[in-house]
Amino acid sequence: MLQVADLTVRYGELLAVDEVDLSLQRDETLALLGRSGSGKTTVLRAIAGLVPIVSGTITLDGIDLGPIPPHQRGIGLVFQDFALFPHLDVGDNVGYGLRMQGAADADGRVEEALAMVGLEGLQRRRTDQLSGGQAQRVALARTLAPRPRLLLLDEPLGSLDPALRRTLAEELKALLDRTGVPAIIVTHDTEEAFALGDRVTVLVEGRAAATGPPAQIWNEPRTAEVARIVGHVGIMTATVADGIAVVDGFQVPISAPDGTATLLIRPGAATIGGPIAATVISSRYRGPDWVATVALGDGSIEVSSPEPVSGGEPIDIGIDPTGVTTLA
Amino acid sequence: MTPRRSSALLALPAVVLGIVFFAWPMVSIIATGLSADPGRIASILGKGTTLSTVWFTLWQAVASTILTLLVGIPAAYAFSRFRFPGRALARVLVTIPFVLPTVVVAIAFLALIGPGGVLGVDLAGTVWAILAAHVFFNLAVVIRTVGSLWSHLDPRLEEAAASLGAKPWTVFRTITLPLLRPSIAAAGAIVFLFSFTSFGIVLLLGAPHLTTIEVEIYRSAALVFDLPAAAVLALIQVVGVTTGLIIYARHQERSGIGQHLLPAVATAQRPVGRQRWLVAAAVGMPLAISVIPIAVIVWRVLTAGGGVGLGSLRAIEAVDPSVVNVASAIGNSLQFGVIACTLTLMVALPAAVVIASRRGPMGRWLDTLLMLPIGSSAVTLGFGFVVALDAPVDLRAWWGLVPIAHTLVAMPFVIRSTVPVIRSIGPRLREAAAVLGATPGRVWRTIDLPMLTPAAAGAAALAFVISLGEFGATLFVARPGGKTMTLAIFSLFGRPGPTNLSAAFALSLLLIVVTGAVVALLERTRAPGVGSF
Repeated sequence: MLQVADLTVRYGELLAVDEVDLSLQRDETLALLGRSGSGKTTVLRAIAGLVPIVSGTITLDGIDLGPIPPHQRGIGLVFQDFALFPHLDVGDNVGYGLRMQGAADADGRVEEALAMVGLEGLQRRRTDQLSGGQAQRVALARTLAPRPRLLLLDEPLGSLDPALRRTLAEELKALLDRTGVPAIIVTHDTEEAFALGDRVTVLVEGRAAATGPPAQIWNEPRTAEVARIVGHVGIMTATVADGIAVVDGFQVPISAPDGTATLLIRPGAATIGGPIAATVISSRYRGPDWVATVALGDGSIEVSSPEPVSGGEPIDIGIDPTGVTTLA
Repeated sequence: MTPRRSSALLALPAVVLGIVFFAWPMVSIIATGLSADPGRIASILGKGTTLSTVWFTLWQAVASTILTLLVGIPAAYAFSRFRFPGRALARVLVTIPFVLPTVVVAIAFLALIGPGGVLGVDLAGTVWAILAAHVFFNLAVVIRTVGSLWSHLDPRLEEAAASLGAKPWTVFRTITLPLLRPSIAAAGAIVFLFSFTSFGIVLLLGAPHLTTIEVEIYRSAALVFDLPAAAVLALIQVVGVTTGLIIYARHQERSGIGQHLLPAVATAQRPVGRQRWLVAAAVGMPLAISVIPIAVIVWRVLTAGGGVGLGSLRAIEAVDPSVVNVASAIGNSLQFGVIACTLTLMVALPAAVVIASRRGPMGRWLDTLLMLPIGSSAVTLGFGFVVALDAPVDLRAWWGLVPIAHTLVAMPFVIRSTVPVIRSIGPRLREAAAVLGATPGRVWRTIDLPMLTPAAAGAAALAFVISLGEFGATLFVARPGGKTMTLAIFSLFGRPGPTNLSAAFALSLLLIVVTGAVVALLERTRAPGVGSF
């Protein structure tokens, strides 16, 4: 339903978004994952019509949004920090979009929207008397009340404390499933992107570096940059000869030309006990087990250990070849 | 931890000064007004001229306020939301009129739209000249007060409204305007007060039927020597001013409540497309209003006596000293300015420290007391000196009254501009310094003092400029040998002869240059708060 093609946005000299392509199906949630400054918020603002685009097209249900001003796009946007109107109470905030539409039974729909986010009866509450979680829900209700065709969420959980983030992420997921509104969620948090997105697009310096279902992005990140952004550690350079990649004492068959290649060893692929003699860099307690960071080639990998090990100790490890992939 | 409570004794000099030279004169005026024969009061109040004066004072003040807001609000928008080449310069240029002496403003407008004016239309003696001069004078109040809140408004609120389907005008009406309302009301109240108590401008640009209460107080007291009439008029003035001040104070308190304010840098952007025209128009209009009258004075000085050059500055020397002693006026002005400036710093700064550290009733009470002179017109103040200060010691002929009057006029501005700075030195900075081992004395020396210095310098400059330009009170209390530059300009302008006129323009230019330089300096050191108005 939403097609973004070759989207480019500049802030003066700065190229914020560089020829990004995106598409979104009905009932789908897309997560835009990237570090700060990667252009993810700018993509949202461009879709909402809040920043002028240099080139590219954005079409919604086959209609080019280019010439349509923000207030006529019918796209809901939830802002980071929520941007609740401080001079209006909760009810008037939620009813704002409905009044703009001249909707009949606005009061009823405000009530409905508040009920949807579990805030029944808070209509007359002032916005500065809301907790962070309540403010987030009011912002959601305000955006959903006019029944937008597309929902854009900019770091919707970014300003909340970690415990609240997890519960609200689940609530948000359920709400999106229930309403069936297609949504794009911008986040810098991999866990959040994976939990909320049916698909994930990773942005690196204004470019879409990878797109796919969370499991695919995690298992086959394709580039070292994307691998690091989603949180991988085991990235290193290997020497390749005759289809065999070698890092220290570890060998794995790969399909790559002779020379060097970048390997990703996924977490869990390495275990204690095996043919590879390596050295521990450090270890930390994770909960039930310890995680030892072990030097390998010009990188390192993490290995689960039932007991603490100290830096400098030798360690023998084994690596499951199916847990290894190559990166560009 | 609450901010360190400074000893209330620091405010003592300000309180004493306020009581002796402000409260007492005001009480004396009220007593004089009320003790007059009731029949006399009735006849003064019932006189058609009194009624029409009050009516004109009121409606021209309302009209001036509305016009100033209409021109000022778009400019406030452009200055606060956009970055464009020459913005800093434009900001200085639109601020200069506000610190110009009202006499100079009046003379600039006479040269522009008076008899033989540059524009070729004679609007002197019409309400248009008065309104135009008031807009010119007050624009900076609106641009600065409204603009400073506007530049901190979160633009995402407007974007949120747009994404919810609000058209640009609806966004402005339902979001921006309500959020700006406190600052618009506060700026409007200040403009109303200044226009309501307008003296120099109306005295020179008005006509017998176009006169404000302020001017009539002066005429009754100083020209007709009808003290009861002046006192009754002053009473009316005080009532009007108090009403305006109450409105102002109420909105001042409410401004910014519950708003998530952003640093100004984050909200300003470069105008694109149609916005360029909008910004050009919004800035161009006030710029033209601010620059043209000043340019006319410059033009008059440059072209006086035929050729082009600064030769006409010689006119200052050519004036007969027995008629108007220009040299002594310049000397007096500088001397009074320095005294008023020093006095203001010594009295107002400690008071500001007390106000800033006390948020309770005491701080508010002090704040209100020291703010009062801002509205109670200068003429009323001068008149009050004349009425009150004859006993126990007759101070009325004392030269010191002039700088004291100037200090009282400057004090509210200085307090307004320094209190926010002092408050901004949060307790946490002091705590951090203390935890790092600084004794209370060193905390004051290494944290408070360096942060206060720019504000104090700004306050001093402001006091100096206000003293240089003060007219209404000075007219009452200056001794024959103690005339100031503004009085000299007024006298010169009222006398025939091209030399006198040239000298009046030359002196005006001198004041423009000095006040302009001070504003530019203030803008560069960015002493916050002059920004407030």
